[in-house]
Amino acid sequence: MNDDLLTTLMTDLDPVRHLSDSTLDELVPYDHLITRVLSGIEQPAARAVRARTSIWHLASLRVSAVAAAVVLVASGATAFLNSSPTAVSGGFALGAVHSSWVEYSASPSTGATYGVATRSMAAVLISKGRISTVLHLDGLTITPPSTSVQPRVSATQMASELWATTALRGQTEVAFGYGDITLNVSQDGAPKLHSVPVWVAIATSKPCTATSACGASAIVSLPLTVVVSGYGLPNSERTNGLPIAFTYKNGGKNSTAKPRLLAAVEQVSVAWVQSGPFLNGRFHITVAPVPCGALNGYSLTTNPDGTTLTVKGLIPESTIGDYCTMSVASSKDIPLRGASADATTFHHAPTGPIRATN
Amino acid sequence: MRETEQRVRDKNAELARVVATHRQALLRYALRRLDDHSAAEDLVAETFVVAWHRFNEIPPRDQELFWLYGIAGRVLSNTLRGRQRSLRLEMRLAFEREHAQDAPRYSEEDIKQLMEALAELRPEERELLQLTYWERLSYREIGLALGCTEKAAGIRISRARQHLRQLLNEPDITATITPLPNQETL
Repeated sequence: MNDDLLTTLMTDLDPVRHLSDSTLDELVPYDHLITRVLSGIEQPAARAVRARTSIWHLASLRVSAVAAAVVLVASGATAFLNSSPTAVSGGFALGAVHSSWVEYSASPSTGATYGVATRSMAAVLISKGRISTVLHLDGLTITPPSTSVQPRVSATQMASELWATTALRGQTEVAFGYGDITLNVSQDGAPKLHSVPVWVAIATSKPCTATSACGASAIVSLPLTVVVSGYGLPNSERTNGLPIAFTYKNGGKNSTAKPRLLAAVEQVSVAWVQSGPFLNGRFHITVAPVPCGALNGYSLTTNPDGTTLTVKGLIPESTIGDYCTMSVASSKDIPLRGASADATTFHHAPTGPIRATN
Repeated sequence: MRETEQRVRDKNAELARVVATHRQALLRYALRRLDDHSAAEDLVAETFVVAWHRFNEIPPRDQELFWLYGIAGRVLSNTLRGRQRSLRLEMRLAFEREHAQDAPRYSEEDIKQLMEALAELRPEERELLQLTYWERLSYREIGLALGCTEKAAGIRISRARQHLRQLLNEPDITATITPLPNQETL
């Protein structure tokens, strides 16, 4: 192929060859862009924030709708962004998040419930919030913690954080508590951990039934997902100051697949403010940056009190990572359909972690 | 303290000039590589934020744009990693969007073939060709964007073209790419 032909074909492929400067100015006006850039500049480095405070903790700092709007408008108080992508050495891959902008149905939460039932995994594995039975999985051993270990955060708080982990989608039973883990998984960059105190959410989509015994030996044969977070427990922080956080998955007794370590991706409700009038059945908003993560979508719920808009983001939380994805406030159009089509007032959902099971 | 504030004001004024001068070129760059204008806007804004933090590295004015392309490329790489989107899908979407409203000079099959070959290239090769044919940069300008010499840029582009031709299964490509009837011929 000669170069002229290649030039012609590439020109034909150019998606913006017909866009004029004036069209581009309409698409992204100068004033709008410079405001966004200045807003991004004012925000301190996310890497520094991550080093000081885990996202598990940041996400737990729920703010009211009004406060969220104030924080967003103030542009900077959320302290979420970094100044440039920063490489972090060591560890397995952070696990980036999918950031498509989609509407989620606002159906009620489904899936596992948090509690202790007579024949449940939790009854077998957990006692007074602590792991009480040794669980030997492929590459991961979970043991009861030392009696001297006292978490600095409550089990209720950590449970809500772990429930926001997308790895728990589709799971029907979860045992939650804290214990020690020893990790020896053959995966590039996987940390070797020995008797490290952590919170664990041990979940399965195939729970024990009334007809099957539910002892530890039966549980280890199930396909299990274990979400691990070292937040709020002593001696669990790694040298970079971040608590341990990852997801372990195996295929169960009859699986030949090796266990895998993945990032623990947390779903959060993100702050937003209305940034334009209702126009052509659309609602224009500006959404706060998602710390080291990405926007994922939104849901609208309408009840007699009005319509609530929840903007969802995904944040990969991992012991380590390769990049902390930069993010700045962004503009979004929300199409109003169905029950929300006639809404004129929108309520802000509480920000912070939200259950990932719906 | 007053001096620091003055420096920040000067820096912001310079940023405003750089944004005003280069925003359209960067927006085109972003729209060529991402599938919606919100994402493209994000990329442009992030590029200028990074540029602000690296203002002590800013080159002479006639080289600013290429320096910004270099930053945008790295931000884009990071963005795509985060978004986990395949280039193949993005290019298909761009292709479908474009060709829904504009008759191609070549058959859809021909252009799909080229798109697939581009998607098979390594990302750095694809970027070199896009900078060459879409941003229409010279070897020297591409060298400035990517931080290499003009000669090195030329060699890398030549290799990228060669790889593309191999993927297009040269020499058959000249036979398979046939202008449509009543279209301009080469």
